[in-house]
Amino acid sequence: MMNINPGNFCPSPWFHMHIQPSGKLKFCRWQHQSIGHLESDLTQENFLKYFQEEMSTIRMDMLQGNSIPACTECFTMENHNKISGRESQLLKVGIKRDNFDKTFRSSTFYNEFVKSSEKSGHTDLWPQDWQIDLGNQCNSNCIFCSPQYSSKLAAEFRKIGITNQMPLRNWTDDSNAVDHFVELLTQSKKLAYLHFLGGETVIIPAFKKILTELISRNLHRSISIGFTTNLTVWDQSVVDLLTQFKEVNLGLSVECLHPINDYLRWPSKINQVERTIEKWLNVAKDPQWLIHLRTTPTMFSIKHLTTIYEYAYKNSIGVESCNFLERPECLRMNVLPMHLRVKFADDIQQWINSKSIPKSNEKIINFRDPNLLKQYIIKDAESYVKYLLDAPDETHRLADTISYIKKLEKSRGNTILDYVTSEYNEILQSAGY
Amino acid sequence: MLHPNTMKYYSQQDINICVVIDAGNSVVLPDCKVSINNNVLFDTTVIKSQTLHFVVGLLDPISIEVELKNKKYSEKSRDTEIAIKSLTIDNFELIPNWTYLACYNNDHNYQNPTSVLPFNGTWSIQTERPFYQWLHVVQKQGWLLEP
Repeated sequence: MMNINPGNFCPSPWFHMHIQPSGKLKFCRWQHQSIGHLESDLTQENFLKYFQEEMSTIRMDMLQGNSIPACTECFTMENHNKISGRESQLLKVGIKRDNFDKTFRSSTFYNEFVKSSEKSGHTDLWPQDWQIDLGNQCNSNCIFCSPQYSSKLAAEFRKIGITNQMPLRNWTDDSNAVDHFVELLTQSKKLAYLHFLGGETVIIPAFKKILTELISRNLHRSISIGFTTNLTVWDQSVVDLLTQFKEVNLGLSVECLHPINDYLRWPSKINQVERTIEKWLNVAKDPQWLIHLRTTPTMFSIKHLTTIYEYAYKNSIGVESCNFLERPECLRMNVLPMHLRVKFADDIQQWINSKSIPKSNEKIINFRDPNLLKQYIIKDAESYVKYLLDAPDETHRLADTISYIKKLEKSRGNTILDYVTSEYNEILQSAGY
Repeated sequence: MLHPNTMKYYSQQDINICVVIDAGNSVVLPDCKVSINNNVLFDTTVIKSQTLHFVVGLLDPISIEVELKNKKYSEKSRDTEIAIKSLTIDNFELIPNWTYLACYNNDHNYQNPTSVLPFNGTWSIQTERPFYQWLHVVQKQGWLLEP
């Protein structure tokens, strides 16, 4: 029985899967809560079993119109007019929210939805679109990251007492698991896209190993890949592998083009980061890669977010932020007092107004269309204006902010005061900094 | 089994097509035939502007043909033509921005994208798949995954 609710239906569980750094499997890259389980034996059979059988409950929830708590991040994005993961995934099977009924029935996957509804959510399909978190091996200690995604931050957190627990072992440390995974990809039907995340992808050996294997099996001619890098490392041998793929989506992680990026993405140096961006832009010219600056705006970077938009706008590259920052809660933009939020929203709005792009109410969901990049950048900027003005007040977290950054600063020997202007000094000091 | 209401809801959807033609600047009025999915909607002389409606199933591939016929290439008939003033499929207007998607086979081998037909021949456009899948592709909406 199908009782589709256009307000929360998502087709992602019919073609997408996500492996976290530890090997824990998730049904979605945007999934808020982890409801998968750790496979002690990441065999091809177990990967498929998770997708085809264990994700059945999620598919049935989708088909019956049930609300899924793990999907809240997408709804938050939609509430602030930001393109959600759900909207992106809908579009990949031809469904548009503004014409849901007809496009749903016309979807290339419609018959698969029907089949699953008749088989308690089961599907015989294989994943076509993967997010592959390779592990937490990383050379950066970004203050908004977590031990699960940064080995350096994990060590630092333990040293300064933020946590006693160390993250689980990286799944790619097990060469058998990597071999099984590559075999699964090789045998996959209609494999389309692999997106790799770290840690830092470029320094994780499994990234190079998987790329090499994909090329040796001739998959580089048929699939698209994407990855995200933190702009502090360069490995020409990895670049040489990447340039062999038919399509590459490159995410360049940077918060703003201002020295506070160094504080946030410790211990990066903004000059080196900018040089590395230019190197990637040069690499990407000839094979026509799709490039995005990937940001995770926090209360400290939001003031300078327009530097990202301006750079992207001038260079005709995209801007992408997967969601509004959830954790750590104390770094969210809405921890700022309202007068600063209004000021920063106004700054972004002024930047938007300075661009002579025809205003449109139409959502641009396919942000990878090079012809619509500038319009998409404007839309993304508008979503932050709306968030700054509308998100609930969380100034009560300021004390946590101070406590958190002071612990890190003691370890790093730096101070936020070297990076921020007087408007921040006031609120930091009023909260006990 | 689909829930009966759901089945009804999703099976009763149609695509509405509307074609508007006129005789443009013709002194000698043109003979024209318009058909959609092999159904002839109009087949006579265009005396005045014609608005033609047709409904196809949501999943039916769509084929639209507009033919100018019997034109005599004389001085008197020099300006005889058919102008496709509008072609909408649901709310999607193809004229003039999408005329390059049409094929105009004519006896003067005129190849440029156009919505005005001055030569005997058939202007046609085919989706070859369900309309909304076709629209996704022509509007460059990115990947369209197939199961």
